[in-house]
Amino acid sequence: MKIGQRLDIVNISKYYGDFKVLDSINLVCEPGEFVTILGSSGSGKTTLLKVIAGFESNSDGSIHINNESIAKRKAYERNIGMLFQNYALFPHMTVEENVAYPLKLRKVPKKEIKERVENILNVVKLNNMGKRYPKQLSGGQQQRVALARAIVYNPPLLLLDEPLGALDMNLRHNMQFEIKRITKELGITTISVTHDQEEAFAMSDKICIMSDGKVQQFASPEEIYERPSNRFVAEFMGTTNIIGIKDITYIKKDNNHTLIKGITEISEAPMELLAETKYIKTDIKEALFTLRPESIRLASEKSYNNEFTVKLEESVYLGERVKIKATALNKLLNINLNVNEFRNLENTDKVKLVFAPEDIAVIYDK
Amino acid sequence: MENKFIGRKKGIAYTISNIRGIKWLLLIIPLLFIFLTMVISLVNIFERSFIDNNGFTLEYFIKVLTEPLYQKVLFTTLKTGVIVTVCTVIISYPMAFLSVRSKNSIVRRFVSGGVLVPYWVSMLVRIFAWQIILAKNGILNQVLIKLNVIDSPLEILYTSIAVIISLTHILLPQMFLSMQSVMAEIEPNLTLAAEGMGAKPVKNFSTVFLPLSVPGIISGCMMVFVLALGFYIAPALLGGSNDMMVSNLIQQNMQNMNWNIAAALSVELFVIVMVFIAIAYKFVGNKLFTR
Repeated sequence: MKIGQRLDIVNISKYYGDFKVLDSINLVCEPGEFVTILGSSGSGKTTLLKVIAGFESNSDGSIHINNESIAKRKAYERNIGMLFQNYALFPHMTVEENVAYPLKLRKVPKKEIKERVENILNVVKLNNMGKRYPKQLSGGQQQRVALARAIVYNPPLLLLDEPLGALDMNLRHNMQFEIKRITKELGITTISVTHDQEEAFAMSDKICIMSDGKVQQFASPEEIYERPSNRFVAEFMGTTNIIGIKDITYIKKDNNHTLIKGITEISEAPMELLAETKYIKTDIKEALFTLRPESIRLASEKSYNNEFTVKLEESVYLGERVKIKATALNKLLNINLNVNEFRNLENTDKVKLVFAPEDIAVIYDK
Repeated sequence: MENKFIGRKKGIAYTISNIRGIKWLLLIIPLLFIFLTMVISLVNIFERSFIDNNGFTLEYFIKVLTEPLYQKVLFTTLKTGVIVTVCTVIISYPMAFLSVRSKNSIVRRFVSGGVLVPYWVSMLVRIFAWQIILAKNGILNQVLIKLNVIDSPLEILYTSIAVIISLTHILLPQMFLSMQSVMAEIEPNLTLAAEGMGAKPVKNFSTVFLPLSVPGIISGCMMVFVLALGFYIAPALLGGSNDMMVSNLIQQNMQNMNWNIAAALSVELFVIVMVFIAIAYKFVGNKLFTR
């Protein structure tokens, strides 16, 4: 049985006085989808989660679960599951009593409560821990209890507040997969809030990047990484190079891709870039594009259009790869090279590099 | 590694703690103080309660336990203790709750301050204040007569009601602090979690906050009850001769040189207090003594 429902967040805003904590947020989560809201602290991500849960009110907009508006309902009327960062397990109740708590509130018959608690403890792999108190469990086990308690009443929506923040590294990786497995198994619609990119990429069907109370981009992890919609997203998602291009001319265009040519900040010779047609506005003469450090390679004998010369400034060994800072026409670039390639370099003042026209993403805002 | 110890090497505490035998001296001084002031006098009291000029006797205990006057005084004392404890619980609980959970920081500070500031005023001053307020033509009666609530002044001063009122006032901070310290430890997220799972406010409170605050209530009750049982000044200045408390009886016997009776009464009170502490300890364990 899939219990997840569709969630629509329409134009949600929240003000503290004049300060906009949330600024016209729009989000759609399909049933069973795992969506991560990613942002640094102060981006409004936790406030959004609290507004969805009903712990804080919204100033504007509406929230719908399965097309039913819930914005006016109290938190205890919303039937949403929530996993708190510090688990919020009741210390005066055993594991079983904790998990049974939401069922008791719903006046489920005792016999059924017992069965469902047992079932869900099996799902989170804590079958023999029912009689223990939260204090007697490890952090990872406590989290499993909290998760069991949040989903035992089959809520249509599960909210996770920094779910892995309090766990150590090893456990964190384990729980990433566990949480994903469990939510997928139950088909529960899940919204997770985190500032950890790796976690977001590992777990999510879709990622929503927030900053300054606004949604910067809402898309699949691949799209966010490869096609950031603006400069903020590009810079937020790991190290990248953001390079200006001007005097753009449009060479070739089909439904999917458009080949453009222009003068970039890193070379005097014109370069060719392959942009996605749907993002192209033809009248634009200037733009930015992102070039990932790992998309830059050493130029080989074969000639490429997008060749440019850099002067190496600094390098850090990372085992298989070398992280390099280099300048091209005074523009500082981050480059990632294979160790063997790097060792064979002779003149570090003039290194010829190249990138493929399709390995970039064009951004239109400054 | 080096830096870590620089501070210690130069510190006065380090120099002092290096003096030979200082550890033992610092331990012995307070132990000696407690021994001289408490242990010796306690042993002395115990001794006098069943040893008089003629040697060992249970005469005083039998007298204390069977004579109607002493029974009545003990009953009044226990009754006053219970009533005062209940009153402080009823008044303190909502205040302590507000002081940790109110969303308004002014309310939080105001409540804590309101309870604690009187705590710094000398107890004698507070008791005399109650004398003035509760007297036959005191403030309370005057106000009530002006408001036409009563025709003739109430007799409150020199009754157990006056004692209960003043003890409640005096012991309120004890109850408040012990509740507040436990309540402050209750994670606010627990209430939110219960709310998210569907608990309506009353149910939420009764299943999460209330049970978690019980240790605070019990340790507060213990403290207030025990202190109320042995209270001397308030009943002496505000109570009447009809509802005397054990401590006043002890004092009276001491004045009349009935040392053995006074000792027996003291031991009686001591044993009762110990029994109550033991019971409370059984329920809440170590939390009883942690602040």
